[in-house]
Amino acid sequence: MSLTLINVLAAVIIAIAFVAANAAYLVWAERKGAGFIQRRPGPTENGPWGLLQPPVDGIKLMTKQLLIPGGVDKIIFVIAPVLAMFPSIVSFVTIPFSDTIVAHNINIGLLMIFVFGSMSAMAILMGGWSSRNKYSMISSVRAVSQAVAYEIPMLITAITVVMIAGSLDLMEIVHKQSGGFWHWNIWPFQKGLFNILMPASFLIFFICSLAETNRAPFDLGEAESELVAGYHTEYSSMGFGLFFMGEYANIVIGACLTTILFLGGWDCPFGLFPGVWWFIVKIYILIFTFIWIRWTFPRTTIYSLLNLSWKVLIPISLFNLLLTAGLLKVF
Amino acid sequence: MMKTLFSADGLVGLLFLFNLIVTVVGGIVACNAERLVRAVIGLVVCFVGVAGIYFFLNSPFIAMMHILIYIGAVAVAISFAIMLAAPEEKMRTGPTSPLSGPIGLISTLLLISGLVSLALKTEWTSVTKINDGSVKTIGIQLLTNHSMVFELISIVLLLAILGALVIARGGREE
Amino acid sequence: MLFLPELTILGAGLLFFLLTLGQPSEATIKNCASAVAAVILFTCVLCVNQTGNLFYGAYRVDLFSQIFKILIAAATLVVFLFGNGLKGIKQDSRPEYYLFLLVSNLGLVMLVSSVELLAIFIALELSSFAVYIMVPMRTTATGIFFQMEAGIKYLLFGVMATGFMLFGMSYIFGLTGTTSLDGIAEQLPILANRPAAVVAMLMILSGFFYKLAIFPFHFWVPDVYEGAANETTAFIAAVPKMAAVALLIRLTSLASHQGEMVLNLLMVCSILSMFYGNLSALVQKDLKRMLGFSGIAHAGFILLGLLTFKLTGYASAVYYIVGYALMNLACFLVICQVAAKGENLGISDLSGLHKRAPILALTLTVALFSLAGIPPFVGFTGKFMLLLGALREDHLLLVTLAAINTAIAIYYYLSVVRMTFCSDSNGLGNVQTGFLANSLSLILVTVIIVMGVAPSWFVALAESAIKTIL
Repeated sequence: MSLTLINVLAAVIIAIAFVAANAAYLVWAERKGAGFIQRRPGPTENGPWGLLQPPVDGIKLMTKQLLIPGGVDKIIFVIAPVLAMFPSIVSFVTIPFSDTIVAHNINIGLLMIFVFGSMSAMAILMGGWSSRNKYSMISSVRAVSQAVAYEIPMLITAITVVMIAGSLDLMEIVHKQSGGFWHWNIWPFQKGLFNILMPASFLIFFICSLAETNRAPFDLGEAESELVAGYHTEYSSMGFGLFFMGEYANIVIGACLTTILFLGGWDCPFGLFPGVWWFIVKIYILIFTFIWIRWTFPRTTIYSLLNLSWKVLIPISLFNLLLTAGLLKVF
Repeated sequence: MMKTLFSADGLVGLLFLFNLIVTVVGGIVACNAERLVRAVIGLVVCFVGVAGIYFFLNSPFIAMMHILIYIGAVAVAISFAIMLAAPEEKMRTGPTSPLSGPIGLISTLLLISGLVSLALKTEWTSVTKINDGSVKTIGIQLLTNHSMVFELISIVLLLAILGALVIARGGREE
Repeated sequence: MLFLPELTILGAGLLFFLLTLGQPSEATIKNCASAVAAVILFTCVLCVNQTGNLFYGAYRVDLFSQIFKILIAAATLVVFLFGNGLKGIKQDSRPEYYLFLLVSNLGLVMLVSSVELLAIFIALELSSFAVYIMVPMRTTATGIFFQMEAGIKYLLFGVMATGFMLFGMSYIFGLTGTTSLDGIAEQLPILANRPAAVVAMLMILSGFFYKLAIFPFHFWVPDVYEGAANETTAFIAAVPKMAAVALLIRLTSLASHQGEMVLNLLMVCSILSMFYGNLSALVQKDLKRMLGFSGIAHAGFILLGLLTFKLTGYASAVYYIVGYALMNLACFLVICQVAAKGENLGISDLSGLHKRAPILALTLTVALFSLAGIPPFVGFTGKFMLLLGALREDHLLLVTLAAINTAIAIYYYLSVVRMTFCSDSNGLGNVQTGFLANSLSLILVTVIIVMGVAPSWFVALAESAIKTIL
């Protein structure tokens, strides 16, 4: 009992470190990537290729004054960033990086990640509302309507995969896909069925994870041209830092989930040397795609964003769900 | 036999107590908050406590679904509605009788003491584990023993959607 | 075959769902509704002799449930027929209104067959939710602007009662480890001495007390009756109450082992309901509000039958609720016809009705005489049987108080009758009544009289039905 407790604690600490490191260097990668795409150098001053920029930023954030503006709802204002950060860390506890590298595999791991993912909407709402600022308020309403809209197709797509794998256990889902890239859920042939919509499912899931993490082109919540900085306008210092880290942690989680559900997890594309490195490679390719998309697509508008979810993604994913269920039943 | 606090049982009991306290505190906040949004947050805290109790009672799946549905959907929908409606702050404007506080306190205490003595006086049958609470068992139960309830719930939900649409469709008639 | 009535209702619901998608004409909606209700009644009658278990024992089809299904279907048919134009409902949502009515009906029909706590709970919720939605669907063209408030009140009190019921159910489940009524019935005699079982039973009963509007759970009645459209009120006043009585019989037969405590509380509820309902009804000016309060009083009378815990008591409770539903339907038929635009009626709006619409005046008079408990109508016979049953159980005080209440009630019922017959029409025009409404009202009058004069066959039927569940 106490041993598992220590294990979990250690896992949480490692998860925090992983999240923090990722957040820091993803910012760097983002800026470098943006620079590359926009044909400019990006950060260069601190260290070689600006590699020391993240720790410097971190120190700056941490040493700044934690300003609580007058008129905010103090309790909620303080809780919100913590609530934004906390679920992401907990989610990492169940994500299997390989057969052995997993903090605490539970048999409803997928569900747990979605559960904690759904909490972030609450954090955004709390942060935006408690700031008592028009822009924050509008931003949080936008962000949440978006999160709610995109959670539905995401869950439905995930359910499709769960039906194919027959388990909510992330390990199990990966095991079902092992043995080469042609076994991955992204392809239309699964378990002897020919489900033409699986690639579409993958795309839906990917789009939804973009939207769920408030990334461009779906970053209506922090549309800086209209809403200053969105729901974290009033936050300074680490309050802002936590929101920021939470966001990047969510990106990593989104990439991990996409990898596990559709890209075979740590499975090697050619059936050789499966292991954690493949997982890492896959998630960073996905994360790079996130960055790539951010700097190449313009921001959409809130209505087209919601229309996309309710009128396109949800019907397709529902249809795929029914199709998969039918195929599984028939064959 | 007296159980010590730091034995396994004691810790488990502590966990249970913690969940209970979270639930009750959340409920109190939800009832007494002056701002509606705070009340929603109290509700969220309460739900977390309830989910904790489910988890404690060996039903992790139910606990997860409770959080997913009640915090991820219900609480978010409620706060969404509140923000769209932009209600006046400070809801408690109506005059309340000076007696309402003491009367409420007394009746609450009576109720609590009644429930506590009820719980203490009853010889509860020892707890039996009906099933392992896994997803599979729940699925089987839903499609066998409780299949009718399962189907009826879908009608209830459909009804709720239709009802909301019908009531909201015409807008407010003034 | 076992499930035919329910399937018919579901199919009818689907039909109306399809109708809501298009833009059907008024006549189509009307005719569909009447036809559908008739078909439902027909299937219910067809399946009366079915017995069997469905859904892994959660659903039991027996004589008891089938008879209640027929009663519910018949009452709904009457509501559908006389609420023909749905004058009080927003024009654009009339098909939806029928859809919700049918879903509520489905919930009630399933409720009387459910023999498992969860199934009971969900079926009850299904029937209630539909009604919660129907209340605010009233149009503001009638000059009533608080239908939304009424709906919210109904919802909030309903949620509270449901909360009580669920809490009680959780206690029962904790004590017995089962949710099926059979399993509970086996274990309850053993648990009878435990206070938690008694409290749990009472809390479960309270969910149905709410539907039946018995004293501590009656708060919704006046506002909902007044705020809801006349047709909705007619439904609320008659149909769910029958299902509630069915379930109360099922549940009190479980509670009968628990002796004094439950009995005393039921007695207190009964007396308070009667006094509260009757005394409040005395001062009402709005006809529907008055009928609402009188409904509380009548619910108290029904408890008289239930708290005997005897077969005859239950049978007379069934008889009484059927009679009550008939009288109420007759009253609301008159209200719906007199209120040409679906508005609320004050008692003074009935003045000179005997000249304006003789048949309606006759119907109203018979219904009110019956509600007041004047022979030879069904209300008298029902009250007589209930009081007799209670007297046999030596509840002398209860019977005395009930008799006093009957006397109080006569005053306000007869003052309405006086308004109908002994005052001028004050310039109020004639009431247009169709052939359908006239014949329906005559049928109701006949049934009220026949049942009052010759109650024995129905009581015998009710007894044989209740025997199947005891």
